Amino acid sequence: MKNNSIPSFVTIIFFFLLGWLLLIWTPYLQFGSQKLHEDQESGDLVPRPLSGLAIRGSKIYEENGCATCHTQQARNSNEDKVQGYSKRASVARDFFYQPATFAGMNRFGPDLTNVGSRKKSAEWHHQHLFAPQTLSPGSIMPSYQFLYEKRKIVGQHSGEALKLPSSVLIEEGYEVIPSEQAKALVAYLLSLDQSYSLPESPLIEE
Amino acid sequence: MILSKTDPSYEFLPREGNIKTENEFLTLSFGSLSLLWLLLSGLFLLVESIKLHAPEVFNQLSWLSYGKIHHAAQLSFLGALTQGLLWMGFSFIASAGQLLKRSNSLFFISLSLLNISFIVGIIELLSGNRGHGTLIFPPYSLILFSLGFFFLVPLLWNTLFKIQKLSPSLMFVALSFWTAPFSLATIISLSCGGYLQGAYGAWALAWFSHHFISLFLLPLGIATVLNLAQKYSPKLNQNEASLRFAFWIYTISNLMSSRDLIGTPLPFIPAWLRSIETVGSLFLSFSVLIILHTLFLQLKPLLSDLKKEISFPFFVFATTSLALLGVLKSLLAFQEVNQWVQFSTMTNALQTLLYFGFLMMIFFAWIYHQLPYLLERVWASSSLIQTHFWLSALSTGITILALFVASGLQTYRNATSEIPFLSTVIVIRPLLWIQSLSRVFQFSGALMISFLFLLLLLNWKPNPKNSLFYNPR
Ligand code: HEC
Repeated sequence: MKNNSIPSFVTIIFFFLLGWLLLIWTPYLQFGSQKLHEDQESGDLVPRPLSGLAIRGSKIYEENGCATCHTQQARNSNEDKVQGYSKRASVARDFFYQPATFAGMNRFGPDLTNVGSRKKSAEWHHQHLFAPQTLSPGSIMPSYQFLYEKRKIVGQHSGEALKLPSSVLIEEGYEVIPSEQAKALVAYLLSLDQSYSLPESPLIEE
Repeated sequence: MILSKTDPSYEFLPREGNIKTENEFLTLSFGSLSLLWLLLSGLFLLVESIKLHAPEVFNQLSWLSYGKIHHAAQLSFLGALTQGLLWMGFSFIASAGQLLKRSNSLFFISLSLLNISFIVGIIELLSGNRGHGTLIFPPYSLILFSLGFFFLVPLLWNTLFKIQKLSPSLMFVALSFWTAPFSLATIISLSCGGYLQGAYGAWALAWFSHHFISLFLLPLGIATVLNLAQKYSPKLNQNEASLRFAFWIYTISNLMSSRDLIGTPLPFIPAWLRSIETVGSLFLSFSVLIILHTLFLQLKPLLSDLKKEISFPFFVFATTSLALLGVLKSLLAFQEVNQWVQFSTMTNALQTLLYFGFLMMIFFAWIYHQLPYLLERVWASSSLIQTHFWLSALSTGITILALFVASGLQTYRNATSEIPFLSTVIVIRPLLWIQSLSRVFQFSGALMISFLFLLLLLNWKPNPKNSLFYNPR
């Protein structure tokens, strides 16, 4: 009787290697040869590097699994246009400086590729993270109160304290201050901005 | 085509006694641990549901945030699934007359490492050491898991090489065990070398998740389907030629493509690679359909007898899910269709179909059919098994349906400019409730099978009238 296990093994490993070269090695060379692009208007190199704070914020984004409900990849689809996610599709080069790419698979929440250019106010983000339903009634976005500290007000109000609507019950004489983590996360969200043009994916003007 | 004996080349049973002790060992170790993880994942899924419907609950506890619980649930479910599927794979090898147990200590080390990897992984996830953006295994957990697997590699490979002729079922087991070490090694070296960044990180992770699902978990599930079909009809020979043909289509198209990449919006990828993905995906679904068609022809003459078999409904549900999965995946192989439903709850529906509809169901079918033979004991209650079936089948079916409807609503509404995003979120909430309710059913089902399993291990003697099982052998 012919032994078929060794020939099968050899064939399988051969195709594994072929697939590996095609799907792991070739893309590695391609992605590795990307360069920054010089923006015609501003003369800046794009995409722009992330600040240290934003990089720390991306860790908070990762830890808390924000990518479970949010994607970060804009497409040239009808949905993306209607929702105003971006004026162009995301391409590989957009993620040049991202420590990890939270492409995501699910849009329980809106796409965040460009949220920094859409929602520019840090205050808005803090209130939304602390109590999403005060800004978006009926939202299923969880509140991230553990990223905030409740502190007794001593003397004057802190400049950093959240200005919450009265529907959020905070004990008398206390205020809510964003932790370092919350500040980093918001810095990261504000850095998400793909409103520059790239040759392989130019902005589509209306 | 009907022969009176199974092909002796792979069904020879040289030492019945050894096979029995091996299977007892496997049942006690991999079997009980996989059910324990199933219960744990059920609990996590329930907490996840609570978090989804009442976002304010526990919002002071950082380790209970929705994203963390969601991943912990997925990882513990994987703890159940991998150990359950490994159990089946090992058992097929053991029943082919090869002695796995020679290396008891290797098994013990491996089993410990695998379980430690899942425990460590859950601690990492809940405490925030997520790592790698979107990979299901956090960093240390991935390393421990791979180590656990690598310990078995020499033994498994050696055993598989010794089998004279691999049956189609064992071919699928071999595919899993031969390729997994390489894909694990690839992702670990990319991760340790710091390459999983930017767009390449997303790309490589998609490749790995494709390998983990379609070349590690799924083949073990398909092997179980083939094995069970053979057990149901021991007097009939399988149409091996067509199964082997399907095997090679499945293997080559999977190795040469990565269907998770079809939807990636990175035009950087050359167009020809995209076409390979699409063709690969089509072939893959094609091979699954060939397998199911072959088995259908094989079992057709026995259908009336099989109605008496307690595990058969599970088998039917599992294979139907697999067929549906094949059809849907081949539709989604087209970029246009894919883009349409890409980020909707269709993703969750397909995941449910794969994990609960196919893999878990075939796992249950195998347990219910095979354990009484392997351990020479009887199940305590057939009505409990039937209840388990209806609970699993209904909850899985309803969840998938609800997620399909939600997906349709999301797809239509989010592409219509007058409808605000938030209102769609609110509209699909009731459908997510259905999913949560199903999780309660699923969890009760898991409790039932664990209870039955425990009674079986304790050798609780039932009233013989209760245990009317179809016995083909
Ligand atoms: C359970 C799913 C879920 C999770 C987890 C989640 N979100 Fe959301 N998110 C939503 C939903 C739904 C919306 C839309 C309604 C709203 O504004 O609250 C949203 C909206 C947002 C918005 C506003 C986007 C816009 O364009 O208006 C931001 C910013 C955001 N989320 C950030 C985050 C961050 C950061 C995390 C992780 C710490 C996170 N989300 C976790 C569901 C989620």
